[in-house]
Amino acid sequence: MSQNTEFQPKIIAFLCKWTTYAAADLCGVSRMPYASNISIIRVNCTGEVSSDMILSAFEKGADGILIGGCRPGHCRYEGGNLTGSNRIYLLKRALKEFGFSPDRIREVGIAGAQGLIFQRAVEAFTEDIRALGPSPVMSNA
Amino acid sequence: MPNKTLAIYAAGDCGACSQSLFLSQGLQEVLDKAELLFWATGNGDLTSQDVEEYGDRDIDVLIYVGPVTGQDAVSMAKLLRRKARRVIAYGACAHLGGLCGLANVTPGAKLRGYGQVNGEFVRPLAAVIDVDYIAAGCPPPQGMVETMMKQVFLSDEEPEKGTVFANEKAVCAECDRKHVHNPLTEIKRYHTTPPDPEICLIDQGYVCLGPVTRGGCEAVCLNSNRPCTGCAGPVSGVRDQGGAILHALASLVSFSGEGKQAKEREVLDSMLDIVGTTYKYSAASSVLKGRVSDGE
Repeated sequence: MSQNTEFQPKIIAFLCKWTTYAAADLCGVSRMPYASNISIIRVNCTGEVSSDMILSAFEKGADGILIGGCRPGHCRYEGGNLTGSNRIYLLKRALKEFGFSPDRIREVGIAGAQGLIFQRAVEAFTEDIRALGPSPVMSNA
Repeated sequence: MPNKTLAIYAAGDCGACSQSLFLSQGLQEVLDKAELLFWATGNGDLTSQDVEEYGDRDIDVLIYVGPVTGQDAVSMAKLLRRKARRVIAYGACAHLGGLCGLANVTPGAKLRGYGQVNGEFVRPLAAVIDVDYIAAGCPPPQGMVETMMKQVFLSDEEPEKGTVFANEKAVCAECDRKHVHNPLTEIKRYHTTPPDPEICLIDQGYVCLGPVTRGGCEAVCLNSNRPCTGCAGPVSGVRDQGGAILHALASLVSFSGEGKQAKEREVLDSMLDIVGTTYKYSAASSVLKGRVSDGE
């Protein structure tokens, strides 16, 4: 029997390789600890993250999705982050109509030098998802 | 060679699938060479005792029409699966859950016979039993039914398991409308603003599911100046039909200059009844499958 029966959320993070992924990297080399609930997938741009990818992640058991890219105006591909953000905005509206909490998807924009901000963002998101509880997708079958 | 046997079971279909079967040239050709064991509806024409009288795998091909609603339908579907060698999910309801699947999303659905029957969701047939072939569409188009009947009954080699009788390519491949490649600046609804019959409906700002829906229908809705509503289900490679079209639409909405994002969000906000439009047939087979209670 495990002593710790607290719910441990599974979080998938899609991080832009230019900024938030670099921040995660910096966070690591600076030996700043953050919640181990997060699994990072590196993408070229958050504009690459499709709604199908997000929904498939939920279907496979993710409790929360963190999408980390550049801040508006800082995208390496003109406006990939803004297009990606619009897609997530519309997807969240659809999820809300299903009764699914849109708070399970969070977008953050963190510059490559902000390792500490990344650490705080991961900690805060993990806590919020823990408060929301397990994703209802799996129990829905 | 003994004749193949065919049985048709309609569990709560609207009648269109049965009609499309009845009128199809494919069925007429098959009936010369195959024996029709029964053609029953789910409302008492054929009880489970009647089906029990058949031996296991007595039915060569069973065509199942309609969605699976409630435990009775589940046990009937399982029974029919045992008696049949091949099962075809016929029409959007059996394939995806169909329009009935929207009852899953309606809060507190109390629709008689549908919706959350004893707290259960409407389900596509494949969620309950193993399905061999799928005839996609609402109802499946005549051409595809004919191809299916010929391949299943009359050809020497049976089609590969899991075959969907619809085109691999999207409806767009069959649609003759012209592309204009304008960025979207508004979302229109076809019953308030009539669309231009020559230009791509998405380019005009209508929600058309053509790009994410399997073809095979020869774009019949688009030729009648109506947007595609996605009855044939997602093209191969797409898991969630509604999610995929939302992704596409959000990418196309684009403004430039001052207040770009605020204007884009305003357009996205103007889209009404998102689930009813983009998950019209696939709500029951989507990732979420129906209404969930989460964080409320």
